[in-house]
Amino acid sequence: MHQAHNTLPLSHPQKESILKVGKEKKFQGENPEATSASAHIPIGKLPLQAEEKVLTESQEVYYEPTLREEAGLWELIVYLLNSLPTAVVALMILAFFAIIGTLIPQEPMGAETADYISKYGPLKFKIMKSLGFTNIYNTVYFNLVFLWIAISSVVCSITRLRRTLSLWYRPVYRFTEIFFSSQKEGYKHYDNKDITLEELVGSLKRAGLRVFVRNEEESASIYADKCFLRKWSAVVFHFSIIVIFIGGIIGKIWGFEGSVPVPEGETRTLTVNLKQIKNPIGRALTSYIKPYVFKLTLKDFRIEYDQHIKDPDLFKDLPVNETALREYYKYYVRDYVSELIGEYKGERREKRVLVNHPLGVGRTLFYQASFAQTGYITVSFDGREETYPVTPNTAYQVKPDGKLREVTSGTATPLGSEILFHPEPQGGVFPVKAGPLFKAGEPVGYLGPIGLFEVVGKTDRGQRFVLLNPKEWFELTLPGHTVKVKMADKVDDVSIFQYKHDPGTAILFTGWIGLILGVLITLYIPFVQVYLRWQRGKVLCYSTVQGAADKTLGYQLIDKILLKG
Amino acid sequence: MQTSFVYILIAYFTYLCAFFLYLYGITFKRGSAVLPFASVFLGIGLLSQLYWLIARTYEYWQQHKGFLLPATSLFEAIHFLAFLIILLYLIFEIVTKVRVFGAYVLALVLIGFTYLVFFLSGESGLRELPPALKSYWLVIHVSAMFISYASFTISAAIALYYVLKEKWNIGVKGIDSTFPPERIDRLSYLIASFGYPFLTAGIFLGAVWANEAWGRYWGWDPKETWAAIAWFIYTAYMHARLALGWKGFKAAVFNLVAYDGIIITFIGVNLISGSLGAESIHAYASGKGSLWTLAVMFLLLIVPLVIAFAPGKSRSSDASSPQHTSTKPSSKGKHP
Repeated sequence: MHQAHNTLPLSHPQKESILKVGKEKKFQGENPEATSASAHIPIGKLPLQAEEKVLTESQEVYYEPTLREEAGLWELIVYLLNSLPTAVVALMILAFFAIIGTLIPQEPMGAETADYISKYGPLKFKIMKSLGFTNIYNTVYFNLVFLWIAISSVVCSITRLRRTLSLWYRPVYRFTEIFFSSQKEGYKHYDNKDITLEELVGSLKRAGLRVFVRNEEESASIYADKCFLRKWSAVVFHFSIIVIFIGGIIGKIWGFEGSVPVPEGETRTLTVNLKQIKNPIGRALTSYIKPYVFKLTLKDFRIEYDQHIKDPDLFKDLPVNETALREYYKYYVRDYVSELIGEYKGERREKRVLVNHPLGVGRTLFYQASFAQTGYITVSFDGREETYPVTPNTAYQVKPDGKLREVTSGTATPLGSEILFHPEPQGGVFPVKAGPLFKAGEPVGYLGPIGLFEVVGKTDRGQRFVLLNPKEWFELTLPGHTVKVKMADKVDDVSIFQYKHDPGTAILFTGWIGLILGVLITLYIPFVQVYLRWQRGKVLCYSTVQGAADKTLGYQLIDKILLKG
Repeated sequence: MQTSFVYILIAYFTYLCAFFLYLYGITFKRGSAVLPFASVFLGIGLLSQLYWLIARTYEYWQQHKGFLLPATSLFEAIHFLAFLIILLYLIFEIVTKVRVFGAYVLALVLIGFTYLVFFLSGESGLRELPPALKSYWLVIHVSAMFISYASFTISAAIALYYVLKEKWNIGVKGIDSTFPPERIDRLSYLIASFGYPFLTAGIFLGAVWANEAWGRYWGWDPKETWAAIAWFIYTAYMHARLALGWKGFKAAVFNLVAYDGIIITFIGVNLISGSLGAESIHAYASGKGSLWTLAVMFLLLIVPLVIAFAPGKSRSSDASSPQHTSTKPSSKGKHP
């Protein structure tokens, strides 16, 4: 009959005696005098520090770099770079700076000096600017913390790799009885008279463990582990962070981005000279690269509109009589469609560019980013028609001479017509709407051009807004004259493309995938380690499990082997 | 098939019933008998939410002739997150047979539903969708992010119970009699570790989508930045647990701090950054917070930390208790 002595809180028929043994062993382990007084416990020949080292090195957890008292500056820096608490503090500092960037509008995202001054006042703005808070992600201190984390990742990854390799190639040390008795979590003691070392090793191997044996006199130390993949995955995801940094740096040095407007039916040449846009370091590293010259031809550009099949929420806030506003808001942009041809060094690519579907040419991507759509208004003055371009956020008035002119508060004349103010709805994105019209995803015709105008005038017509279209005239009041306006059929469309050349993106994404896989394996695949001391008649076992799994997996495995009889 | 606010109200009502049943179940001696009924109420509410989601997806299909995940406005986002929290919690109940944390998890869901019903009901309709949102990436990116948010919510709720119990000895017999603190601590960690890979993947998938739609994978947009901050904090939390051996009270407090990052990422960016002028270009990030919503959000952020850090009675001196601190296997001082 085999017997196991156990210091673990496991359910076991001999729990009482097991606990007694466990306590006794533990006490011995913690009290040097008691240990040495127990003559029947052989003390290992190796110093215990070596055993401590093996345990520390064989487990990825609880690693703490050490610093000698006489360490110099270089050693201190390496120590700090290797230290997890320092890395955590650096991460927190980075997070703190990033928070500032989310609370204060940032210059690279379009915030301008006037915005800051109106919001914070000149003094506060000056202080914020001098501290770099208005462009925090490009400050020296933010990038220094970033650099620290990057270098720390490299140092930590190398340390982790070294430790993993060490465990992979030579994980066996001598495990004395004190090694087991000093384990705070306890260990197991099996009285087993029958099993030979070969049988034990064979059983461990059959159970799928990597087994390493160190033979001693009449005894052996055995190290075994299962799912070493988890150890490698931890290395992989730490190195993945370096790969991500490398991808980012490559993109920063050798990449470029910007935007280019291309009018419909025209060709634009885009020249990007890295020497002109890079900082001195970037210039030095990219000096061998000749300017990139792209030719972009916009064959066709259209804005497709769809319409709500049910009243949208915003209608709830609109007065019922504002039919023009309701009609205007009924249509919304379905997609921006550019038939674009890109040419680079003899390579010619043609593609229908939509949002989420860029054109790639010369390893540069051209994205549908924005557009400009300008409408025209036709004025009929006593039967004489003339067409004028209208721009958003501008007021117009038909003057007594029959011309449509821009007006400001000082230039409006009581002798002219009502004032037509062309508002800037929805952030000025589409003051005029014109393009193929869809309903529930199906094409139903062509919209517009329709243009929204606020009528600011002498007569109250019961509504503030009028929606002009090319078919119906809208009558204005000008004593002695017949004045009518409508939208002209003509619309000027300009498609604006964002371009980006980033040779680091693929590397960065690869790193990120490595990071995700590494995290998944590290968290979910358990790494089981079993430390055994075999002697004829008894086996001592200590086991650890890392990862989301039952922490007694290792013991269960040994139980199966040793208690099978 | 069409959405109606009634389904939201049904879910709200059933979750309220479930909340009180869970509360009764863990407070009274023979209360555990009602816990299965609480789960049934949760299930009914979940079905109501599921119907609403399917109906809204159908409405999007009718409008756009394409599949769209109904998580494109603040209303839909809160609704979808509440749905995932309840779904994950029910799965958690089925897998672990643990029903006692229902009231804690539901508390936050009910705050979300109260916000939906009383403050956002006017925004429950179909909205215009920017072309960038009409992408399969919406489902992939948003689902990954929201699954992580839902996991972290459940994890934080359990961590909050742990902190209340350890620091203030505020607990309920129904939980304490069945769950030793170590198990509560481990449950909280395991659920957070379920969410962490989703957060990592969600940020990555968002970057891939941004690269495709906007031409850059990272733009320091407030929403992106806060997602990264939350990731930093959870990364630090995971390292603290796995590499520094943190357990128990310290780890639970860390969990709550990390969850603050999620609250700000999910809704704080909309309410705070928007109000301060640093607006996000993310879809459901529009809208500035009213005084009430801001106050509730700050309470959500601060109250758990006050509970954790305020001087108070501690049930056990956590720092010295071996099972609550580092379980470092060997330390020099203990060797002969």
